[in-house]
Amino acid sequence: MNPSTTKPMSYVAVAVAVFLAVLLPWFAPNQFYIHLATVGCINLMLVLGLAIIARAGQLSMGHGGFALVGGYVSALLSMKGWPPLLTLFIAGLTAAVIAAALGWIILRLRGVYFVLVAFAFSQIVVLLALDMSSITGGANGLVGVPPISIFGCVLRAKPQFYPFALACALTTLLLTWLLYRSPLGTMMAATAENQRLTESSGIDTHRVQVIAFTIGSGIAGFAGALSTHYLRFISPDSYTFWESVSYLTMLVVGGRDGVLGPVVGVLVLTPLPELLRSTEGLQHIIYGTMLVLCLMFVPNGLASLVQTWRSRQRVARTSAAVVAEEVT
Amino acid sequence: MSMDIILAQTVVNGLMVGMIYVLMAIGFTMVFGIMRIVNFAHGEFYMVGAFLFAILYGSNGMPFAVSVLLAIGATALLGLLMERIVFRRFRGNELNGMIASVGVALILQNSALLLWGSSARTVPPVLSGVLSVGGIVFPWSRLVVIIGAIVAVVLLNLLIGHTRIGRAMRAVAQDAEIAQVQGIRVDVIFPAAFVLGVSLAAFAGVLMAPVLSVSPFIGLAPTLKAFVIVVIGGLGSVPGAVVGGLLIGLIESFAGTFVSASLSEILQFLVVIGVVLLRPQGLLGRKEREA
Amino acid sequence: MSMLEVESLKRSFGGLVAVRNVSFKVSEGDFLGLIGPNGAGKTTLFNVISGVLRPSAGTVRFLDRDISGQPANQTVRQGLSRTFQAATVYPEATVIENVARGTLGTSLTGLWSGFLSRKWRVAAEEKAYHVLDLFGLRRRADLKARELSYGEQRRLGVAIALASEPKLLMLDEPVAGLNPEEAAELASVLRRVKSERGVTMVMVEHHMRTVMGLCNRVVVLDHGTLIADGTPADVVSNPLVIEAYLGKEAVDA
Repeated sequence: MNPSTTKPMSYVAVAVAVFLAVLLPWFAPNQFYIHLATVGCINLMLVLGLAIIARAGQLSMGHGGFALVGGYVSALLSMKGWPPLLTLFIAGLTAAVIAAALGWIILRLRGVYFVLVAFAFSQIVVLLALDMSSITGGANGLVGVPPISIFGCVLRAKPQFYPFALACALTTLLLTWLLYRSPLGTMMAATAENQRLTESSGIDTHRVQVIAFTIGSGIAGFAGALSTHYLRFISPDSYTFWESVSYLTMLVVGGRDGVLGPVVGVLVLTPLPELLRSTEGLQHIIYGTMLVLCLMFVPNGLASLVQTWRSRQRVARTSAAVVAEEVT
Repeated sequence: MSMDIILAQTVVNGLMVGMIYVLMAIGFTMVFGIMRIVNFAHGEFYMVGAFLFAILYGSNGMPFAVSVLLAIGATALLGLLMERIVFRRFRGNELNGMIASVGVALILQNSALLLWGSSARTVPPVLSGVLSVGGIVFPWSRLVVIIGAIVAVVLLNLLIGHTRIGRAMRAVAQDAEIAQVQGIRVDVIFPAAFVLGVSLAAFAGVLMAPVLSVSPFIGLAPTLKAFVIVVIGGLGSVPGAVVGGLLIGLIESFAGTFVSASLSEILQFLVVIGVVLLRPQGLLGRKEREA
Repeated sequence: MSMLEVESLKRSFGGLVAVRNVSFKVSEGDFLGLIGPNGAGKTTLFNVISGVLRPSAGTVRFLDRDISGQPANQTVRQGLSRTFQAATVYPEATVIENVARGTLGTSLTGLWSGFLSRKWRVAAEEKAYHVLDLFGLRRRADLKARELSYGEQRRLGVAIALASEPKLLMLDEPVAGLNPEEAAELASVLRRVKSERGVTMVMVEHHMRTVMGLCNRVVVLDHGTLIADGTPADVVSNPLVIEAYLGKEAVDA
């Protein structure tokens, strides 16, 4: 994916999509749709975080663990009277610092070990949340987390919270897009595609991967906190292994290459659990089946179908140019 | 109860849990060593094995030996099916193979949930009563698990060390391409190894069914344990899995008895981090060949 | 002035000694050929010098700095680049992107530069196009690397290494697997790189004609030991070298 080929058409499409997302509260038939859109925004942030880690060639099976850390940090601080708007960022930062420390230790190892240890870490977070019940409320979790307030405006109801969640999600999307276009993003993509070659181009690939893991997990911490202030509740069950799996599913089904993939994945898969709420098992079976089928038949995700079409056009243009050059 | 008895019980519990982990970790590490797939669905086969045994032996009262064989056989068949449909396509593709296994885990766990419901089932013990040695009593229900697991590990060692298919598996684990050039039917070895790994998981499930209660959600914890053990023992190393499994089992049992269960989990995680820092190839793992 | 000094270098794997007590120097402007029979330890020596492997003993000095055992990426930033025998491109990226990635490690001031501005990309691509011109790959710039022919991919691999603007370029069997025509083309590219950019080069190569045609000095490795060091003409007539390649009978005959 080469960002320099972005066409004016794409900008128009993005503007229209953002416009529609902003207008949602006015044409949503009921509050349930606004709730769904809010959950979608939070999911998008989590999936983008995962996508950034994947961009550098790693896979985090402990993503939910960082969201949980963020959720608890923000909940506990805000319940002590700190302003939630500040604690959101502290939550993101805390998750990022933990990720940096953990990443520095484990990212020197082969990818498989990284996945295993990150997974084990997320389980430890759940256990700690259960065990330190005097602070975290144990299995009951923390109830009555304060709502976010901005300039005296308290985001308590769904129509008020949604614009804030949307703004957070769009900012994350924009920053991710800028990151992918930046030298660091280019190094991440290079590392994922051929680590040895990138290393021998003078790039410290270990550092690149630690940075990606730190940024991605930081975003997860922020999103976990955001969700906690939206639901006003957090418990060890808020982010289990299966939540990590569902973000991974969204990423893989949508596509791992650009920023479009996570958007597609979230749009396709966020409504599903809500629609199938009565039969929870069925929903997971559908997730699992989509995950496996996508890997088998569209390994680069649904968004790649668009890119395949674009690159066909590019190849056609290039070969036409080569022919023209050879003729003259 | 005197200290001796508590200590003895703790050791027995540690060995029992440890041997189950050993069975899980060996299957997991075999599948990775040979197919290069990190199988997140490994514990779901343990769950399926336990469930089938609970239904056959516990609910329908079929003879013990028949129940064991049927439960393992059916799980092995399910494993073969999954290998043929899904895992076959991801050999050597570590990242996508791992993600696919997560999908399979989701499908298996939730199919069990839809089929058998979420409530936990209990299975009557295979042997009741106690073994009394010098005034210290050991419940037979637990000794059965330890003995069964030891027998399985010994049989597996004989299989890997002394049969043609075992030698072929070791060759493929070292280098699939070279093995293929030497005339080893790699296309047979892959499913064979996968089915063997799955069968070990199913056997572990069968052994544990009478000791634990069986539900669709019991697969994740032993999967996590298998991960922890192979990181400690060395990915792809069978002796490493044995040492790591027993170590984790004993840590769990002692810390669980004398301190708290969650402390033991945190302790295990710290052991993992320590091993990763000091001996990245695992306690008994061979160093990855550089370059 | 000597650019690279290898002193009493040793590397063993377990009990197996792959490189034993090897010393040689590369002067600025040299085109050094490193030859030897299969399994002589050439690639191991290469890997130790470039920082992919740590030495078991001995030192590597590059531009009067001890670089033994330092991470490969740091060595590259100091001006020593290398190629690999296989998998030396980014198959899914375009050709121009491949080379542009090669420029990043050495030309950026910091990881966070260029987050908003696109100047870095313009600069990187401009540099990359110059390199592509040198390698005769400009017309392929917009194709994906995997769409290139094998010979072009090998050339692209060298182009990526050159994009980091090294003072010393180490090539690991650059013409292996190429047909005579492609080999000759790559040889002429290397000659051009040498004359236009003044890059000092070291090359591991089996193909004797390429070595004789390009190199002004040759060192010979056998069983991990350095057995000859001199001009191509000296080396081919050295009985030790003939023995290493053809066996003892050939010398006695």
